[in-house]
Amino acid sequence: MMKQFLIAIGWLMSCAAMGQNANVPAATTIKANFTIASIKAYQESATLKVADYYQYLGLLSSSNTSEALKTEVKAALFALFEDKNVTVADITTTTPTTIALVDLITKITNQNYSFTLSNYENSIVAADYWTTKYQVTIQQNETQTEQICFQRVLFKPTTKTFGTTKKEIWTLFLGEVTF
Amino acid sequence: MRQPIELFHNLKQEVLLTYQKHYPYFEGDWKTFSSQDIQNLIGLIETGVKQTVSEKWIYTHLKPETNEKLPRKDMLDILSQWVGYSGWDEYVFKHKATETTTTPKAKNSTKRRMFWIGGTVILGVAIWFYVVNGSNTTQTIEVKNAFTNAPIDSEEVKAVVVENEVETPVTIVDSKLQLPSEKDSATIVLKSPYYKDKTIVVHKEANAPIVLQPDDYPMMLKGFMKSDIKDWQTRKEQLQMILADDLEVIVLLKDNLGAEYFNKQEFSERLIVPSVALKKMKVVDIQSNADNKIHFIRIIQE
Repeated sequence: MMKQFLIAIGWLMSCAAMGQNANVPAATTIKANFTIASIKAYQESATLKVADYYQYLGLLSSSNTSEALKTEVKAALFALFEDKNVTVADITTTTPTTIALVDLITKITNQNYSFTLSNYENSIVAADYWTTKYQVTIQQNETQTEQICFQRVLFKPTTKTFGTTKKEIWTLFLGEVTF
Repeated sequence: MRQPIELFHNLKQEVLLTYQKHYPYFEGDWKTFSSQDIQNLIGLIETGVKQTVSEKWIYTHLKPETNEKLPRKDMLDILSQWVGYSGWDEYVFKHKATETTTTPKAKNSTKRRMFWIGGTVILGVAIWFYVVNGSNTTQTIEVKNAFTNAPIDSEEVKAVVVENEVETPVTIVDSKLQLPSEKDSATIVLKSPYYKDKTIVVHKEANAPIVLQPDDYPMMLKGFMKSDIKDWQTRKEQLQMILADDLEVIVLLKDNLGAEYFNKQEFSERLIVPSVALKKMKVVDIQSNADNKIHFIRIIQE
């Protein structure tokens, strides 16, 4: 009961904190550039990135994954995030703690975790991000636990390189993950 | 002297015959009278005599093979009016008056026979017309892969008929073009992300398969997008070879409400380690540069 209460408070605070991001120029806020229907389409697409994140974690955790492949998986995983030094929910513990992404990868290596996601829910949209709430079922050997996570998803214009051409593109990135 | 209940059974048969005049393909009896037929009948009675008969009443009084009680007279009036009388009284009077003579019965039987013969002839003509015209209006031509001789995946090829610079889409069902065949010949353009474009003039009587030349690099890409994690090293090397450095991949989101863009490195990463997102992607266009390397891919996210 207490845990659910804390989750609800956290969710409300997360929502309340939105709109306070004064560093984003008004012209580049999400709402100034996209319709509600468009934002929903991007939010749906972002859930696939969340799913990719946990699929990559599963591969890095598997003792069957070769070291060479792990290097590739890490590159793909870090590319999902805006900053590889981000903190994420420590899904190896039952207590709600966060951990640096790179440390989590080290912690789960060869521990054979697997993850299943469900019940995605998106918060209202802030200047350049929203929060996606989801349930993650964590399986390790015979043990199964469930956690509710809050994933920040950033959506902002960035400069991308296509060969010798550079273009400004609105891009989705994953951000911090909290319980 | 016939009893009213017998006359009611007679009226039920006349109701069926009248119904068949409106719906000639109905060939059953009250037992097989479906709920759709009931709805049709209610509509016909409403239109014909401006009266309403409930579905429940039809189930209670018309659907049963035998009736123990005679229905209310107002309902008998409605049915009698619908089959051509002023009401139940006239119906009873006329049927009692004619029952002693065989002529009207025979006439009725002849009318019924004529109705069935007429109906059968009309139905036969309609079927013949449909079969003859149906087979003439659509010409089907199979489309095959030139290398494997296997039928193409209908989802992967788009075809249009070009006439006076106007393009009309052609349906492809089970790898076969469904062409309208009113014209002696038609110019067809076939396009696909995985095959080289082809323009062909098809004549009315032609039925030889159309063969499409596979485009090697797009075909390789198609294979990579369906792969599992196995052989990732080979895939990585081959991606480097088939994708141009200035590759631009556009992923159109649901209902074209937005788009994501990937460069060569980002797209390669998704193919080397197959992701959840990759399984939701459907390629609709691939363009290559002068070196035959893929430099543009348009994808729809499903």
